[in-house]
Amino acid sequence: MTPFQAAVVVAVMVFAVGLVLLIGVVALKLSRRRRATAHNIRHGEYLRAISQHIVAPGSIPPFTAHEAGDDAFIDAVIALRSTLEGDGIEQLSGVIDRTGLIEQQAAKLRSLFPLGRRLRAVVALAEIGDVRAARLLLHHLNDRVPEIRVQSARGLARMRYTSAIDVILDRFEGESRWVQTRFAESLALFGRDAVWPLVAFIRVHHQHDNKKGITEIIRVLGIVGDSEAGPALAELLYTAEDVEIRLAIIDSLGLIGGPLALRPLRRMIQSEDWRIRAKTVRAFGLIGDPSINPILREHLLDPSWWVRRNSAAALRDLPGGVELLYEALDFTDAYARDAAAEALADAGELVAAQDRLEAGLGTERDFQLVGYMQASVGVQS
Amino acid sequence: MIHLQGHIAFEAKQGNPGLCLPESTGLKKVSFLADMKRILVADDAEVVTTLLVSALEVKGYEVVVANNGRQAYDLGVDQEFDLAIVDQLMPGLLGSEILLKWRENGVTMPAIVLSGVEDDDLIVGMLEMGVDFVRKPFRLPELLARINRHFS
Amino acid sequence: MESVITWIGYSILIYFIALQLYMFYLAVRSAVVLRKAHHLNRFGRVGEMLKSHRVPPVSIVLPAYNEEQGIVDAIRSMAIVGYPRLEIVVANDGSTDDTLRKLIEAFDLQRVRIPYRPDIETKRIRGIYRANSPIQITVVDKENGGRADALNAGINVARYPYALCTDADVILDADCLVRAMRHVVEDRDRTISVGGNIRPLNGCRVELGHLVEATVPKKMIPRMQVLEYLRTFITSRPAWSDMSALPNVSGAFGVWKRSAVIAVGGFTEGHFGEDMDLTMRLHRYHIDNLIPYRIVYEPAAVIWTEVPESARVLKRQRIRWHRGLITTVADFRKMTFNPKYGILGMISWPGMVLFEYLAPIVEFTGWFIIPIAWWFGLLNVPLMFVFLALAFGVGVVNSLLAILLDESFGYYDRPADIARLVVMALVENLGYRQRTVLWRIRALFGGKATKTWGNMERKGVANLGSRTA
Repeated sequence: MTPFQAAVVVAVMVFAVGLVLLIGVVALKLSRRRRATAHNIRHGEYLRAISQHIVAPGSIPPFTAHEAGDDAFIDAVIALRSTLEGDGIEQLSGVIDRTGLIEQQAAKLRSLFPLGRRLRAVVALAEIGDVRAARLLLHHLNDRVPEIRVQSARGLARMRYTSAIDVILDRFEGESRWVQTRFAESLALFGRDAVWPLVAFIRVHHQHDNKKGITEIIRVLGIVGDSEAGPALAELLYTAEDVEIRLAIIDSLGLIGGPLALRPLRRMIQSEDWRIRAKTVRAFGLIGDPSINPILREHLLDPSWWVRRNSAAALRDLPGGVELLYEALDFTDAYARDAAAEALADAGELVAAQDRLEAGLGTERDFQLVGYMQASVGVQS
Repeated sequence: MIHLQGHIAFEAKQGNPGLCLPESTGLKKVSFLADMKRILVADDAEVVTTLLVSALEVKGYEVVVANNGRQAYDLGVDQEFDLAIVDQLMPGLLGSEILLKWRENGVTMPAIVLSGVEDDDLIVGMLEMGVDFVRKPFRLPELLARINRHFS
Repeated sequence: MESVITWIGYSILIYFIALQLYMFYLAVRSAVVLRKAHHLNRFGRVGEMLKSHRVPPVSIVLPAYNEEQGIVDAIRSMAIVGYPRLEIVVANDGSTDDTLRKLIEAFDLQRVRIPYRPDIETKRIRGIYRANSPIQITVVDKENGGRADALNAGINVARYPYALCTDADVILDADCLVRAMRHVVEDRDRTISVGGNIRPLNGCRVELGHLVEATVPKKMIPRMQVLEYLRTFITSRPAWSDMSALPNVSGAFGVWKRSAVIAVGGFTEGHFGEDMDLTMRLHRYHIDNLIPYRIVYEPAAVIWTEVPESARVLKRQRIRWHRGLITTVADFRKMTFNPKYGILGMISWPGMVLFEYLAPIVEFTGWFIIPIAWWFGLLNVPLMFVFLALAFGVGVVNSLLAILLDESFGYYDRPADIARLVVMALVENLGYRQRTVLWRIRALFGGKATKTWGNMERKGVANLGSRTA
């Protein structure tokens, strides 16, 4: 074959590929559009029909197993399920039962492929949160597809199926960071029921290498916000050497709050590490105990800039803190003054002061604040 | 006293045959009632507006739907409503912004703000303005009870 | 003489084959990446992350120069990108119009003092304003210094650890920030930058600062850019990102870790390609200092931006881009084919140099070599036509591949859009693309470029909507 012939053959092949692609693209786009339009129309119709059934107790749901196979129907059920809570969903459950949606989706999840169908099934089961699917989801916590494991955990959490907590925690160490993060979200959904298993988990695992996993669990405890976790976290705060773990504990103690959280934090404020001090003052602001005010005032002049700013922001949220912030406007340290000014503005003091001045009711303090804000920024230190 | 009034009003409604209709046919027949309350429902999520329209029309309210913030604001200014149910995160204007602007322009109807994101500042700000706050997802009976409370 | 011409001819041929193979490899690898991400995007409920407060807070940094027309609507549309902890920082770069006054009026801004630390040096700050409204807004008013300088000032003012740097004339998809920040949640220690998928806004239906329907523009010049953006953002960047060797996080949408940007000194003032420059400096800094890091691209984080509608404006934009590239190629020449920089040094950055920077020169040489070869009788005319046909065919295949891969995002599927895209794929190589080659050649010898602020006739996000609605 001469070069010329070879080139012609290649060119013809490329054109053939191009033609196939062209037809494929056009066909794909047209069919997708048709499907999407029909899907949207049915989705709206289903929403209306199910809504009318929900608000009319005693009516018979006008759906059959036929609808349960329709993606538009599943989407409508999921949308309503995530809009409603409590008593409102009983009627929806009737619809779900009558159509056999759970059984249908369970069968799809059990099958080996296609992945898209399986994912849709596990999401549907997780969103609907019907406890009949719990055993199946428990099984799929060990699925080979990470996203299915994640959704299974989420579904079990939505059902408050507490025996899943230990199974999720058993898997936790071996998972990627992404899956860990999303498992953590589900664990937080369990609320108080998860506190003791989580505390046990950090007690056992905090010396391991996987500090990312531990910090995730510590943060979950903060989001759950149950004071039962306080002592365990405080204990770990004293013993843990890793800064990331300590920072996570400080955050969580701030969210949990209460006098028990305050004591370990008072110790942390003396830390050498500015990051720990910055987090600690922020936690003080969250806890909201005014006995801390003098400490925060002191840290308005902390060597670290972030600690000064966070202290001012914390004072803003504490009873009596605003008074201290006004005092700080006279400090010699420019950052501390500006941090106080920022906190006062964010607390709404500036607007209030301007309103009073406009009404002729301004106090000396109002003049001071408004005047301070007019000065130019960008002071170097 | 107020409690008693509410009770009487309730009895009167029960005694009104126009309202004691089977749910499926109740929608249109009640609309001739002169004292029908008008409610503005503003949310960009189709599922919320569909659900609330169904629920409120069965209860005998007249419902007007807005799909975005600006439309909701304009409707509130142009027309009279007895109550507004406004979603916080909407294109155009945020729910809380709509309420602020209404108040600035003398529109003082009672309102309920719906929000899926729990923002403490938002909740406090709304309560200070005398606006109810309901978290999404919501309990339908509870939301309906709160709506009812505005009319009793 | 004759052997020189033959030699050049064959070199160009080899270059062409290498370029096509490279493009094809990127497309195939991108297809794999997009396929994997597809299911997560469809069913992953990433939005649920919003409910937990475990996503890191983000400051949206918007540089603004004479944006009085659209700035207020732009901010309103950004305020509802569903994200729990968000502030908007506008850097008013010494606008000569009413930008600042419009902002103050619309959002009840108050002049305040906040602890301002010039982590990156900028032009003088005139004042800082903060909103007392449901949207957290801080405006930093500064003297004019260009886009990079304004971005740096915005980053200085930003309170949160991550800054989304974008423009005042873009429309963000509602979930774009969650989609991008997913990567940060995934690996908070190492992720220093996440780039987004940029698409032309021209001709799309926009209402209230939100995209209602994506359409392919009727006009040929913006339409050509739709294809160009698809080839970049759908068939190249996913592959580069997957190889951890992304050479550019586009300026129109980039999430940056604030501390990392400060560590390398921020955006370079006056640079024509400040986004690529910063991306490359971050790569170099982290590799040189042995700091683990990653810079990723997220195709599902979609933003829409107005692209030039006229050849005149497009020409200036392309000259600017190419001059930016020229500067960057010179600055980072030591990284080219340097194994120390891994796949970035060996594949993606050399790819940028060879197939972006040199492409116009090679193609331009080709245009000349053909008549010369013909003059010397060296040209096999039938063979040349076969090669031209081949080049045309491969170009069409590449474009169609990009359209095919884009299908999973579900845009552009009205019959008119499909027809426009397909027609563009066919005619693009018959003159349109060649013009961009000429402009890039022009860029080698200076040439009039847009200023860093661009001088596109902006219509403003809100007006775009009313125009097309």
